[in-house]
Amino acid sequence: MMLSGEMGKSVEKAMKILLTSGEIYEAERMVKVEHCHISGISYDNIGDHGLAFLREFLKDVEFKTVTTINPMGMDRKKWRKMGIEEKFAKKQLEICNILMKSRADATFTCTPYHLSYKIRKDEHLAWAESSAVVYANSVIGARTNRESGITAICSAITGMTPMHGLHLKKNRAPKFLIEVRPTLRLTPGDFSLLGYFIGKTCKDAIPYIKIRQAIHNYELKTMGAAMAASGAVPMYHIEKITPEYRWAKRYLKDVEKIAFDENELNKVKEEVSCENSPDAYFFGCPHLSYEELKNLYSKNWKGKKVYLCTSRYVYDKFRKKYGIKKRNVKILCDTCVIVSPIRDFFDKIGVDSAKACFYLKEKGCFIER
Amino acid sequence: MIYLILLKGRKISDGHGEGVVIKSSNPITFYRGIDEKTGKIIDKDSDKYGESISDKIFVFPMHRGSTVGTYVLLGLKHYRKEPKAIITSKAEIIVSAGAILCGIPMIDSIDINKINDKDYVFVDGNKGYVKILRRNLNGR
Repeated sequence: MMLSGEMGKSVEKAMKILLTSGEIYEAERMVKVEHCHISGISYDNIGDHGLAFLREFLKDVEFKTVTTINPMGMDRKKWRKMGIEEKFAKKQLEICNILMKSRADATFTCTPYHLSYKIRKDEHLAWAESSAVVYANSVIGARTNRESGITAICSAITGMTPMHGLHLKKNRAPKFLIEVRPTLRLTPGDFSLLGYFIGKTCKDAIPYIKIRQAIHNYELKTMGAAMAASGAVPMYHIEKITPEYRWAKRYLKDVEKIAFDENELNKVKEEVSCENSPDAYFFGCPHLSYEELKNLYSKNWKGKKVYLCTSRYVYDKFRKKYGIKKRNVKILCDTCVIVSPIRDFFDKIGVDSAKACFYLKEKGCFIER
Repeated sequence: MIYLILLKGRKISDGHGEGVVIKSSNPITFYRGIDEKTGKIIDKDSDKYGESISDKIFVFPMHRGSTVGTYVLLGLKHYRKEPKAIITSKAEIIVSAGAILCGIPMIDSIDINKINDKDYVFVDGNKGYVKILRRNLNGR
């Protein structure tokens, strides 16, 4: 029915794209999805032709699924204070309106899992945003492929995705074993660097990680984001920590074994660090959780220019409880340094995220939080 | 004598297109590899660097790289610099989705060694084949 055009041209095209995808990747059938996450929201990224596409494609279209969306190019409320130009803001807001009209949730975050949605183990999703994909698969045990912004939109329109890749249990088996040397004690920043190393080493394959120390949730988050940026890793297992590691363990006899030691850590550190002092610091790649925001906001930054990026959901929760007082520490919602032209206002930006370093290139300076 | 060589592949995106082939021997990346405003190949590793795919039949072995590539195809269409059709050996979703959204005929599962740069071809996206115009059976 969707293919005949009876439900509209966009539904027909969306279905055609998903069927072609299914054929290319040899999916046996489609699977229903209840939650889609869309990337490609920032006007800085998609430009006029991206806007023209969304305007046309989403005309009279209502998403069938719960649909969350990635950060945009500015803080929806503070864009003027941020120094964003009026003509940029106008186009960015039009993108927002188009998506809202199609019934997307106004989340504007790369961390939909920090919001109030219930995402379950084994649940089938169609998520774009590589860092969210890794988190959903690895930490929650849900199932999603690394969608593009456009295929995620197609799934939101049709309520389905081709059943291939990580939707099938057998494809979630590891191909690499990463052994972190027991003598190596990783700082929170080091987890991001470990992720960077894993992405480069594994490319798009799934690693099984052995590590002796306890890991915080935000360390899992930053590690996953880094491997999804420097490589195309969609998922990892960590012994004794992630929900599918016991099942994954049986595949370890055939995998390639890689050691991660002080040497490898320093190599990555060198690649992403820089000599000059940053003129501003951005934290929140991926977006900060409530706990992280609380900790970072209360820290004494000694007059440094600091930006904390998070979702409006987390910010509202935080502001209600603690209030906003400081001058040199600013909280930005709905956006981040990667997708916002605000990055052009600074020469060197200090970040604690290897993913951010990867995208900022020479502008990025890796520092410990 | 004029010959029409028929190569049967797989349909990826509907429609018909005919024209002159521009063939890249290297894998292609659309994101930061093709300039959407001019249609020119800006990937320095490509053997067709500097040439435009606009209004041509774009032939390449496979696509690598970012999912933003789909938006580059949309950009090419927006600036009216899109190719007339796309032929590849192994399709993946980034280019395929772009071709479908832009209405650019596309086929895959073709041995592109059998197509020469500058050949004149007819692509049938609906049936999944390409016909190559040749003056003799051995090459050109």
